[in-house]
Amino acid sequence: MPAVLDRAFADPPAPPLAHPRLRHWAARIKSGATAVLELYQPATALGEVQTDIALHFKARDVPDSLEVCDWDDDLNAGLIALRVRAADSTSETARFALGLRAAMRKTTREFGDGFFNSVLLELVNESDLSRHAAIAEVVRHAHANAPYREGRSYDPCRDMIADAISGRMYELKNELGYPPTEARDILVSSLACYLDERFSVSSRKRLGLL
Amino acid sequence: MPIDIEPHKQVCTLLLFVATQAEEDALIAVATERGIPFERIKHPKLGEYHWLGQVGDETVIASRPVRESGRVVMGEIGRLGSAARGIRFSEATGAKGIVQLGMAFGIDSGRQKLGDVLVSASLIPYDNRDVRGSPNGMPGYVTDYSSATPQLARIELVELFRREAVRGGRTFQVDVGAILSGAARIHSRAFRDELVAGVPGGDDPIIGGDMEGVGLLAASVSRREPIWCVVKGISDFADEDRDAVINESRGPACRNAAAFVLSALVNDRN
Repeated sequence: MPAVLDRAFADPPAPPLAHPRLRHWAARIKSGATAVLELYQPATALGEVQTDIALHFKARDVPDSLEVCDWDDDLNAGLIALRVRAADSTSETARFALGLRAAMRKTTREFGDGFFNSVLLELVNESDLSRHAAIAEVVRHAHANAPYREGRSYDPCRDMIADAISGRMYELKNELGYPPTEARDILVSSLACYLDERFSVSSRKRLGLL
Repeated sequence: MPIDIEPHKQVCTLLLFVATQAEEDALIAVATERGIPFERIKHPKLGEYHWLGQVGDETVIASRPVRESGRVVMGEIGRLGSAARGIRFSEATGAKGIVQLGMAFGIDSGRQKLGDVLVSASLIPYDNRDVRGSPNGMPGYVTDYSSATPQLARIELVELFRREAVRGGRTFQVDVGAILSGAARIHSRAFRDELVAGVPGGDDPIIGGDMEGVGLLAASVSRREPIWCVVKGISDFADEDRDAVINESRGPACRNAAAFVLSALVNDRN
C-alpha cells in the first residue's frame, strides 16, 4: 500500500475549497441550485468603506435564499472557480475592479506605491487600453513619475502587473464563460474603476479639485 | 474657479505629516542638505503644504503644521487634528501612504537614548479604555485597557523603513515596534509604565508613544488597507524629567526622524 505522501505525489486529489462558505455554496450548486452574485457598495462622502457580497440562490428557477457576507478576496476567487457570475454588468465590473486590487496587492507591497504607479501608468499608456473612453478619462487626470528602468525591479514589476490583468481576463473568458468581446468590455470597465481608485480621480472630482 | 497650481503638484503617492514648527524646521533642513526641493504651495482648499516632488520612487508632499489664532494645533482630535487632516489630504492628493514625522517618547531610558528613531509596525490607541470604580467599594478606580488593541501600520512603509534600518551607518538606533498613541501629554513615569503594562500585548514590542499617530487611523479607508506609518525621534521618556530635557532634545529627535525617512526613500530606489 503506497504511503500517503507517495499517493499525493502520484495522484494528487483536487484541493478542497478552503473556506467553509465556499464548500457550502459548492454543495448547493452541485445539487442543482443556481447562484448569481450582487455587490452592495454604499457610497460615503469619503469613498466606499464596506463592500458586501450578496449571493442570490435559485432552486429550479425559483428564488430560494439570499446569503450576504463581507467582501473577501478568497471568497470571490472561489466563486469565480465555481463559475458564479454577477447579476449584471455593474456588479461584474465592480467585482473585477476589486479582483484587480487583490491581484495587484502583492506587487504594490513588493515595489512600493510610487514605483508601482509609474509602471502601471506606463503600461496602460503604451497599450490600446488607453484609447477606451473610460480609461482615457481616468488617465487624463493621473500623474506618476517616469519609472526607473535601470534597476532590477522594472521588468518583474511590469510582468506582475501584466499577469494580474491577464489573469482577470482568463477568469472572465475561461471560468465565467463570457464571450471575448463581453469579457474585454467588462475588464476595460473594471480597469478604469481600479485606475480611478488608484489615482483618486473621482475623489478629487468630488472635492472640486478637478 | 480653476486652481492655479500645476496639476502634478497637487497629487502625490506619499504624504509627510508634521505637527510642530520644530518638526517642520527639521524636515526642511534635512531636505535642503540633501538637495531635495521644498516648494511652498498655497492651495485654496488644502491650505499650505510643501511640494518635494520625486524622492526615490515616491512623489512626496509634506504638510505644514496647522495654526489657529497664531498657535500650532497638536494632537489628533478636532477639525485641525491629524485625523481630519489625514482624511482631507489623502483624498485630495491621492496619496497611498502617510508618514507622521516628528518626536515621540521612549519607554526605556536604559536601552533607548534621546534621538533614537521609532518606527511603528503598529499603533496602540490607549485612550480606548474603560475606567471603573475599584471593586468591593474600595476608593479609586481601575483602568481596563483590553479594548486598546494594536492597529497595524501600512506594511509597504514598515518594510521600506526596515530595509533602511539594516543599512546602518547612522549615529542613532532605530526601533521598529508598537507605538502607544493618545491625547495625553505625559510627564509621569508611573502613568507611562501603567500604559506599557496595561495595554494588550501584540506581536510587536512596545517601543514608545506619541500624540498624532492615532488620528491617522481614521484616514485609512479600511482596517485591512492602513495608509499610515509613524516615524519619530525620541525627545523624552514621558517622565518627570521630560520638561528638563525636551528643549534640547526636540531638535535632534526631529532631525533624525526626517533624515531617516528621506534616506529610506532615496536609498530604496528600485
